Amino acid sequence: MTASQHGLPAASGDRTASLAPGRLYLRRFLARPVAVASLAVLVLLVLAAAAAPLAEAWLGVDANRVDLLGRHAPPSADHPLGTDELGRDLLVRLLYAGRISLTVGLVAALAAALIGTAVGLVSGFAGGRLDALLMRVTDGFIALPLLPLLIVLAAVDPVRLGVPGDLARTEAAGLWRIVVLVALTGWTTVARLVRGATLAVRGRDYVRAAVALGAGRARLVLVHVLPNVASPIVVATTLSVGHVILAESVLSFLGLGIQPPVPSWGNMLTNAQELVWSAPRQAVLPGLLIFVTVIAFNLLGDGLQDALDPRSGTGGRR
Amino acid sequence: MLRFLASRLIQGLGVLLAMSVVVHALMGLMPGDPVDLMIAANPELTPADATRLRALHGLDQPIWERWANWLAAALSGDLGYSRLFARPVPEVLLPRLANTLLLLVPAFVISAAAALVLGVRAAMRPNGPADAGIGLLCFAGISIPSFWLALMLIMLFSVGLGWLPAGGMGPPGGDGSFAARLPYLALPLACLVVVSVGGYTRYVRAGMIEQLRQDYVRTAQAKGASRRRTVWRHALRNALVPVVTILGLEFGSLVSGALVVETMFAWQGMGKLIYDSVMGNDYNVALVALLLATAVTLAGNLLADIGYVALDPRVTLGTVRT
Repeated sequence: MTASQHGLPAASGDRTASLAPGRLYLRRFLARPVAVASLAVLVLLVLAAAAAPLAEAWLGVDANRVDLLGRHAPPSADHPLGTDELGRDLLVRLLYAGRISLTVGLVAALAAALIGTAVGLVSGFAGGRLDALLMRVTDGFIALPLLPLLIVLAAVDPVRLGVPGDLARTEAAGLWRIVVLVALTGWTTVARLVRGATLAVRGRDYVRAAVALGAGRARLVLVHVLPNVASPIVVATTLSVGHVILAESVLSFLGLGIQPPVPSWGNMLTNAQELVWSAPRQAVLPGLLIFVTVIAFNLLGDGLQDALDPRSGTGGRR
Repeated sequence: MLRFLASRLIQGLGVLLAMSVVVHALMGLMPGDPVDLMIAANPELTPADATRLRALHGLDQPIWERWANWLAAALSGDLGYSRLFARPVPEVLLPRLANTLLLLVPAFVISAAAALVLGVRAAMRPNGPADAGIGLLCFAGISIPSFWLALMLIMLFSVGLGWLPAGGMGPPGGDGSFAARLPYLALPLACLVVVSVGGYTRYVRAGMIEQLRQDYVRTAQAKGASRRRTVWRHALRNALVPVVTILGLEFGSLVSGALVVETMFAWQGMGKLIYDSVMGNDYNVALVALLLATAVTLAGNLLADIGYVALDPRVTLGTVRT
């Protein structure tokens, strides 16, 4: 299926053939307004979250200052989005929560991509029994009800795992714990994609030529296989950021993820069942931000998939 | 067929057994054991009492021995006693399982049916306006946090419009008829369908696009079969084969989704029970409930395998005839 069959004018089809791959990918990506818009939204969100201390200074509020007389205040000049159930500024808390949720999402998705790539490469290269075993485990992970398991895992006390008590109770340890937990949910897609791509690449003539010329395994993986499986890894990682942010938000919402007073979009909704009656704004906004972030990552991943897949035409979605 | 079923059954039992070991190990790592809770509740307990109680309940033994004891008791039909509910575990669990299935089965059927219609519609003209619209809706469904969707539904239909109850299993006073419970089922069901239909639709769409490219579709159309007939009779049947397998695998995420939805709507199902029992250190219940949730998932996978055979005459269970 060539590009021109997919409604791309033949002339531009000829022109793209002479572009360097990077430029070609960029052009194909820019041809997808939904993906470009998603990227713009994400950039804005990241910038806004990064600017949380600036907003705090500019508004002259402290994200953690409790003001029991000013609870559930409506929007005003001092508090553009009003205050929460403890009188804290809602906007500033949302921005700080965004820092946490986005950081956890990105770091955990990268960790998941590393696990998935490792499993996929080993599986695709080793073949035979090891491959069968790894793929069984991957399938098992996909099929199991992960959330109940995550809840049990999240309830584990790190002190009993040998982590010193005062270290285990720090903010950073809480963050790393949740990163590790949600990374466990995101690696399966990457593993399967990388395995498939590895198998496909392994059979190609140039790889067989490299083997015949005496290339070692490390060289094969680094020089021949990884560059060729890079695009599925990028796509799967982008998509798994969405999954991972959702998983973090559910765990935090249930009280097992990020612990207050550190805000995350999920734990800001923990009391939301009462807020629905008393302060609907507080129940809507954090969830809306999760929704917008996750859908933007998913649409971006979908757009990247089309842009990076040489087999799809400019307009084609898989 | 029988051999395949037997082998899958043994595999499933293996998974459950492994799961029971893992969960036992994890529970040993959780903060506080039941005796800690007794101490917290009763300040007159001396450390000597605590040691004696730990020995009595076998809590001083290593995890492996506790697991072996649990397994021996479980095999003889004794699953232990619930600390939170003060009743034997099966008495707590079985009604919850029924409640969860009451939610899961309709949710699965409605999602799958809607996904078939939407996915086929989208695949008939890829990249057309209908496909773009359906695609966006799918992504919205996949991306929405289920607990927040539940909140928004409660806000709209219970708080705002006052049409439907915000949670619970049925009207107070115990009218357990299905009609009386239907309004209570509506919001949790809607929530589960919205979060699962998007993923299903994308699988159906991908499968259909793949099939509609095949030569046999062109042949059928060349021989005069209508577009509708080729799509719904020829292509769909083939597209369903991989879709059924994936839907079976997705059953686990439906069970996960049920946990959130049940917690949000105070639906007394397995998911809420797992959450409550883990939070309340009710290990006996948490363990068996987790195993049961896994068993439900494995049963979903198995049903998908059987459906796969029913749909694809080339496949007999265990082997692919070529």
